[in-house]
Amino acid sequence: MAETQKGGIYRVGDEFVDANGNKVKPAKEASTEPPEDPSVIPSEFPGAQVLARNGWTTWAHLEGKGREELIALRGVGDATADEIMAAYAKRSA
Amino acid sequence: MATGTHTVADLLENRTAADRRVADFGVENLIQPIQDALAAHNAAVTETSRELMVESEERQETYGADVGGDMTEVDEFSRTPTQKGVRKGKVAYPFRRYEYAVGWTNEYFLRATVRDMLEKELGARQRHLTRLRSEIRKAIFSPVNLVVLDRLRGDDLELTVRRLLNADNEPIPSNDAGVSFAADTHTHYTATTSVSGTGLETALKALIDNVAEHDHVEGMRLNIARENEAVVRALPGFLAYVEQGIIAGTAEDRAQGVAPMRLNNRPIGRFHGAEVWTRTWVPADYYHAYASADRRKPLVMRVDPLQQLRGLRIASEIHLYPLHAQYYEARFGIGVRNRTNGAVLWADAGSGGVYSPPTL
Repeated sequence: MAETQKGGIYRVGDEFVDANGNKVKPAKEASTEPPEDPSVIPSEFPGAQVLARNGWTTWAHLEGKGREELIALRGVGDATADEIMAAYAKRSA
Repeated sequence: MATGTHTVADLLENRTAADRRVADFGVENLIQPIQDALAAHNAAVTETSRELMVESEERQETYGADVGGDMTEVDEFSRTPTQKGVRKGKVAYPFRRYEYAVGWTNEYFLRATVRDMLEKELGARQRHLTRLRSEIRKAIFSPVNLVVLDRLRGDDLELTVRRLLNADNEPIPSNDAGVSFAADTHTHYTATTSVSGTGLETALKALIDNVAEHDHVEGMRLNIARENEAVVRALPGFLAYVEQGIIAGTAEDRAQGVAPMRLNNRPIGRFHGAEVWTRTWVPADYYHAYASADRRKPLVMRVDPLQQLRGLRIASEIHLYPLHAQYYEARFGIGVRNRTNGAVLWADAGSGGVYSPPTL
């Protein structure tokens, strides 16, 4: 339902403003995000966004994958691949 | 902004034996083809933008009125009191003048070919399209209303250019089922921290429903950036069109339709009743839903009341030996007309659920 959305406060640069550009203080509200699917890579996982852009959205996509396969993805360089490998290893431990 | 004057050195790059020099072809013979090309360009712009916007000479209009009242049952002795609607809000449209100038030296002109000169005209058309896309992007993705002075009309009237519904407390019409919307909280600019999977799917369904609940249901479209195509294709509720040149197998459900080959401006499938399109003017990680076949188009392109000042045209030429310059001009402004026909979602893990516009 539209009425449950946060209304009328937007972030422009470093400031929070209302619909007419007046500065406002953001209200603290409970999250309305749905509970996460455990098979899906959460958004806070290192490299989650770039993995998602390549269609790798679940843990199954990372299973058994090596560094070379990660680097072959669009937008993944050496540093990002290392970060992903380290975080995945930590999760699997 | 890059500036420059074309010189002989620029001609050394692209020359073929078949190219005729303008001096031999006759500059007067270039005029009609250029005018014809500009007319075709302007007609194409009007035609292709018809789904999103209509042209109007108006600078502001009323919006958001409800007829109000109720149709009550009566008997043979009754007479109902007269009723009237609630207050109306306003929407306004900016109007600006844009210019693209091309210059060359006399020496360049004497040696230039017909192709060289026509490429200048092509450049002007391409810059016009880039400017149009930029203004469409600003009209759709900026959540904050804009106050402008209507300088080109000469009276400097202050206009408030409003966006899609953004909780600015302006009246919102009720839908056909009689559902009303709170003007100070109802917004069509939302954000989610879910960038993929079921979280994003839920947010995109809410985005489409955000438009449909205002009775904009014909030809629903979900416009996405090419960068987000893989994420959308991976959504459980997405049904892909068959790619051109591919014979579909029977192992999975597919949407009925064919995905054309132009990768950054094409329909790719269906999701939650909407046709999903990749669009060049949608920024990465932003999603836009609207009803493309609804006669209440979301945007207005404000045009000059004088027909001869509409579209892209050559406004002026200056010949001051050894320099020559040609000035292409377009006068227009793009604003939101039907504030309910369109909604935007920003998907970013760091958004905290608060919408932030893209760099425009």
